[in-house]
Amino acid sequence: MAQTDQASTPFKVLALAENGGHHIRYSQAAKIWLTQLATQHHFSVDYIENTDKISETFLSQYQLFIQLDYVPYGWKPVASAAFEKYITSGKGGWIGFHHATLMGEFDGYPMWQWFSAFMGGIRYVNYIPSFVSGEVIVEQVEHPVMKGVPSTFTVKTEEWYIYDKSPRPKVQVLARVDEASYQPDSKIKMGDHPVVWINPEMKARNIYIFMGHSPDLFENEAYKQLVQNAILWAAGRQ
Amino acid sequence: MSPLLAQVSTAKFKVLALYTAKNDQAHISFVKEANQWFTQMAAKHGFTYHSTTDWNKLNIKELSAYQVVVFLDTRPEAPEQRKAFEQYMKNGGAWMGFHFAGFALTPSAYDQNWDWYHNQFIGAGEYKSNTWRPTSAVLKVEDSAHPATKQLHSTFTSAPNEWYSWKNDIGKNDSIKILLSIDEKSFPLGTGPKPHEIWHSGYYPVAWTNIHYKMIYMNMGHNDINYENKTNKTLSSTFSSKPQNQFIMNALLWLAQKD
Repeated sequence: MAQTDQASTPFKVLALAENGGHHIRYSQAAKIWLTQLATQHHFSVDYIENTDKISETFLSQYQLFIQLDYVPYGWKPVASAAFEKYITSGKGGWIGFHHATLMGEFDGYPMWQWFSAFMGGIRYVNYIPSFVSGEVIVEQVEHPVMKGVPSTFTVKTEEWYIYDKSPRPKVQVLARVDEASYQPDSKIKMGDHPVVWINPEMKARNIYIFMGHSPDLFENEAYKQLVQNAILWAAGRQ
Repeated sequence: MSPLLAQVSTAKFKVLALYTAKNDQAHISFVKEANQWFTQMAAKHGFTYHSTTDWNKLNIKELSAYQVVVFLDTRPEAPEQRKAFEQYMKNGGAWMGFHFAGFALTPSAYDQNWDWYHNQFIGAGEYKSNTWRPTSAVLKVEDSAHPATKQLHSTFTSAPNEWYSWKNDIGKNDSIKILLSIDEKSFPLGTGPKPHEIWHSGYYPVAWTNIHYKMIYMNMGHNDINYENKTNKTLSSTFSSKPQNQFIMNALLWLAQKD
């Protein structure tokens, strides 16, 4: 059967993660969890720590690209061109976490205009340096990525980036954070605050998930379900 | 007090402060009083403060015992010390750096020969110029939402300092979040005698953090010294401004906070 065959076909994942920085413990916890998930769901994961290897040929091996806390600046030109083609041509799926929305002029690099458009035309503005908990509200409970995810769930430790505007007009928002729920409260807010979204303009199945700082996310059942669903959906297995 | 604040203020943490205190009377004076002040703060706030000239403490084993590393007046010079420090920071360590710890100038005794530290981590690149002689400035709080600037007014008067300007325009780097800058009410800043040592206008960041690391650099840390009469007597204190002390302590508590 086509459905069964597709669901069980092994697939290859490329995961791009920074080799250090504020989020290193998240990436380390993610790897452990991904290894277990890979066994259960018939996929393999290759890790890279920079964009040196990325080319069209290199990406053609992979059915899913996970940008696991890697910034959208400072990429090799060949890599950024190959990535754009991978996404606009629908060659595979993509999941971006956390740092993927650090849009702006960082460390002397110009903003990657295409990537900003991909993320909904936004620009990074600020973060909550003391970290706070927040309630995530699922807006599209029917989407496959939200299957089995409670309609609201608490994320204990996040810095909740704010952007110059909400990406909502240009993307499909699957979940937002309720800024009124922050504990402790913070002045750093943006009003409408999406945290999980898809860009339907792109051929590739794609999803951005903001939460991705603390390793305790891998003790959060709702988060794990969300990420598992996202992987299978983006890889075309669900 | 919120539960988080209570937790932060009672949490035990360990600070390792490194210094050299050899080359400049103004920096030596600062280091001496900084060690005294932090020791007092450690007693008051219940943390451990260990201060040393032994830069070989910068190794992975030693560093694992400390939540915060402070560079009081210089940077590490040996390659293995630099490598250990970079690894410590990339694995979630926290750092506070004062004044000359950010200095690099090619050619000088402190060449810019450590690109990660000067260009990526601190972001300022190289030293460009300074004010003279050391004087207080009115500082502007650029980010009132940051924990380090808690309970500070929008401007406050600093302790006397020699203010630096930098090669890189960090206001244009989105990795850098500027916390304090020279407020325009400070101008003219400095008394010379050289004209370029007096600033009349411009944007001068004074304290900042890098959003990719748990770090705060601040330009304070250079006392006024009586060079003219050759007494080398200290004429100012970096810890003479109550709001500045508040900033330093807020910053340290934020750096020590686990997140």
